Amino acid sequence: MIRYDLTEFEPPAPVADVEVSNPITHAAEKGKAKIDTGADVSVIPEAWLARLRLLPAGVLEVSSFDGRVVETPAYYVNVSVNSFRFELVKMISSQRTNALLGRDLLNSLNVTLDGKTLTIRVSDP
Amino acid sequence: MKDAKDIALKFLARKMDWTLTSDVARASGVTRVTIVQYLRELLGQGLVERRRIGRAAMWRIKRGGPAQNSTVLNIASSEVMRQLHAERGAYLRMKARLLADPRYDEKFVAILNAEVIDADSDERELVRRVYANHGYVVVYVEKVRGESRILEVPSPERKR
Repeated sequence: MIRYDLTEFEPPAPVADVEVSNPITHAAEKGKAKIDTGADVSVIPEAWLARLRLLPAGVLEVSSFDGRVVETPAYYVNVSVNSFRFELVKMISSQRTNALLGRDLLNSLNVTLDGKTLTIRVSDP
Repeated sequence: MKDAKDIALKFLARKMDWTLTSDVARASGVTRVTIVQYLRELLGQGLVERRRIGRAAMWRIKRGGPAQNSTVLNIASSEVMRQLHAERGAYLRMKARLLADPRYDEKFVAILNAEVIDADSDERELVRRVYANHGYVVVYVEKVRGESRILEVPSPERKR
């Protein structure tokens, strides 16, 4: 059971611990990721791209909350979510300090959000 | 000829893995004898590493060395993005032909040097093979289908 993040998000948001790594060199970054069931694709902070020396392997068209569509490079990475591992996941980056976990990853896990107690459970069914 | 040495260094930086001398020579456009001379110079400068497997020599960029951190090898460089968009342009030009070909329709394809180098219905298997066979390079991977898909990342966030 993990507590929602009360410090970075207002209102508090469910977060998980993630480790994202380069699939070849295995250079890794650890951080928090907000659980985002509205996102079709997961997102990593742009600052991690250079530190992980990631090379793009595609372009995705992505629509934001106001309907604007942008084309953005995509990267294959290995991801660990609360120690559940996923290989070669296609992710995008944006200028943010934490990652976003979208349904591309969440649909492989059992995630229970309890807004009353501000806690989250993550398990692998 | 100095260009070939730079090309070899950039090639190894992008591959980020042990690479045969003959592959470095091919990528640099010079003979094996010439590239060995350049690679030995780079070895002496501490920019690359060498290991031997039997009679074969393999090379890679030195981990944590000056070349790995230099701006010329900055992965966010415009050169990397130019390569990505060149491969994407190649895909868009051949898309109609791929759609009509049952070997590729509804499959993931990998485009490198403006050619389809591999295809698979399993995206991860395809990417795994591409990186195993071609090293860690800029490649364009896309599912061949008629209409492009727009993904949503809609969540607005309040600044604290």
